[in-house]
Amino acid sequence: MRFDVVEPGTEIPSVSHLVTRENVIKYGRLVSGFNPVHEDDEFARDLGFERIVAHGVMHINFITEMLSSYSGHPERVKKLALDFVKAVYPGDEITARGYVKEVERVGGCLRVTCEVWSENQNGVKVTDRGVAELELPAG
Amino acid sequence: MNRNAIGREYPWVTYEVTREMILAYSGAVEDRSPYFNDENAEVLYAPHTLVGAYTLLLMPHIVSDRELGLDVTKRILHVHQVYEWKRVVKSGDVLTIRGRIADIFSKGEHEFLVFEGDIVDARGNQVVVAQSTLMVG
Repeated sequence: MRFDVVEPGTEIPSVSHLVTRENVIKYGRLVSGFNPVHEDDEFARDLGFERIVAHGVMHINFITEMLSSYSGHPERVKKLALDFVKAVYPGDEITARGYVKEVERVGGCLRVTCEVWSENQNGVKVTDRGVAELELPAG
Repeated sequence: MNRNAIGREYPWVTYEVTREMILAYSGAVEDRSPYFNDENAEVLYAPHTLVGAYTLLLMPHIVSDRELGLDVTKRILHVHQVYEWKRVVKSGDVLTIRGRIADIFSKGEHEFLVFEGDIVDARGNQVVVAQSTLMVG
């Protein structure tokens, strides 16, 4: 893949996933479920949530998936920083979005800084103020 | 939480990234990229967040650290995350997580815990740096 036309404002193709209860529980068990807020509805409600909550790291993978697909190879995704701003629940459909903010030529590469975020099915952001850095082959 | 715990390091955790682990993780996050799912590939790449998620292996140490005083019966929200990938993790990598408390601070009625995980490979080369900020209360 060549990146001759990467310039500030270029939109990154979005990625959407439906978050299921099954995957939230499966994910928690894979990565050491220390917090019952991801498994126990009653526990989650006692803390003020609607029901169990998806792990933040689980749904930011939707953003890294978007960046990896856009860049053409997982090795080209270098940095990501973002804020979690709203709980994600099973049943939410989360869409990762982003656009190119800056492009800098460094040696034989393009260092591309992107603004990224994700939102639920109501268009409400669940992550925000995301900044990602990619290293793409120069055209 | 006890601010004297800032800088505290926890016992290193070492694990091997297996093909089964990658395939199960890719399935749970529904990442369909062939890089992370090709069962016939000689080497499988791991989704970017896998190693960050596995820093949760340190949580039992943090939760049981009475001097730190993290109250897990309170509402704990993951509010900020930073990753810096030096390279992509692959099946067969043996990784060690070196975790430490980077900061503890208060803002309004909430307390914040900043935890850093430095993930290195079997040769001691840095692979990923992950920083997570949790809001408590």
